[in-house]
Amino acid sequence: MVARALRDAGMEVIYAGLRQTPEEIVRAALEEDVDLIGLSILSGAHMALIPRVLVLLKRQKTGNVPVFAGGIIPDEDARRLKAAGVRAIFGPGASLEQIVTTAQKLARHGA
Amino acid sequence: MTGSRQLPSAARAIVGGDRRALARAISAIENGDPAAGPILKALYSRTRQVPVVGFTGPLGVGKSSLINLLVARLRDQGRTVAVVAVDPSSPFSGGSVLGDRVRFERRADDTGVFFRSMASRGAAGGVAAATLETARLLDAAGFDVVFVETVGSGQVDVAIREIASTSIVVLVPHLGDEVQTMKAGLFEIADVFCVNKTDLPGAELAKKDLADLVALGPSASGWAPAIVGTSTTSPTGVDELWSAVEAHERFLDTSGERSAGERNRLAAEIVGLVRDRVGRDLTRELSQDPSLRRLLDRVVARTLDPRTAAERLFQDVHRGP
Repeated sequence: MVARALRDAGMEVIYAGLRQTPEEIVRAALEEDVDLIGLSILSGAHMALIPRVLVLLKRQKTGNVPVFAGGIIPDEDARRLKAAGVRAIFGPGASLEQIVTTAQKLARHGA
Repeated sequence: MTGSRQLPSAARAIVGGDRRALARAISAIENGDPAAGPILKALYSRTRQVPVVGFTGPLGVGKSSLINLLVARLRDQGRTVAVVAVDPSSPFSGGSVLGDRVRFERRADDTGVFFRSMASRGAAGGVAAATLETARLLDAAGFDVVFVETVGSGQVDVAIREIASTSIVVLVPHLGDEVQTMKAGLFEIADVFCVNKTDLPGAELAKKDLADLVALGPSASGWAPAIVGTSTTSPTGVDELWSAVEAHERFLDTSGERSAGERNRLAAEIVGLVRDRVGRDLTRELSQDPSLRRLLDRVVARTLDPRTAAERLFQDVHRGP
């Protein structure tokens, strides 16, 4: 749903699929030369996976690509992820409009 | 390597295996960014004319699965492969969802494979020209084989002929598919027909129908398209499919078609590049140059017709500034 909303806002969305490892995600980001990475995590593993994505991005010198995340992420975790460099986090109540606006802002100013 | 010191740094990085530099150069091509020019110019002499294999056919016939199997096979042989998946951009928002990556499998640490999605965007000459230049970049970057996948409809599929050295048209056994193939103009494109999902009923019939069509006569080049049945669920026919590609690549060399075709394609490419450039310049000048604006005003006011205006413009262009 998010992918479609972003497309309708004129973006090119590389839909990478479900259950990707952090390694696969950063590799896709590099090969596709993306402006922005959106992670959707519902499994509860966000504190393990998202920081790993950030570390790998820095390692391949694409650490300047902004990362945002969505899913069921408790406030305390969200604070820590933002401190680690995640630019925006959306909970289940976020509207598509909010997500699109934020994504546009990050893609413009992030890189 | 000697001579690489004269290369622009981005081109040097690409030749040296820097995937990030490669990815950025492809973006520049897609975006019509002038930064792509110096890189493409510098690397052209390093291209080796590696096989560029095009896959086209309707949605859902299993092109991605076939590519997965072929990539795995080539990697087992130690050959490096780049895959370009082309999707059309939405004509409404300019956006797109590029989903071919979902089905692409490989080891996360295998640097011998490169996968890139492409959309039509703002590239001069459209997505076909951008894909051609991208394939050339991948050649210069050292990949042994380039695969280009296009979604089965429209201009891009016919343009695959201009990009790929061997074109595979993928079909599934289905009533009327062969006729649709003829209608869509895919028949003229195919160097190899792949009837995928041979585990479905009707596969033998589909192959026979295609064979009948092929028997109507070989193409102008003298090549009679090969017909291969494959299945990706319990992989069969994949070796035969690759053998058919190699047979066509050999034919291109022994018949002299490769160099003859290359010459025609390059001529068309140069003309296309000039046309794009002139078109862009004229479009800009029609809105900026005072005398050209007056010319346009007269056409708008119906005191001059578009053809006469075009002839005057053409004469101006020929005389030069």
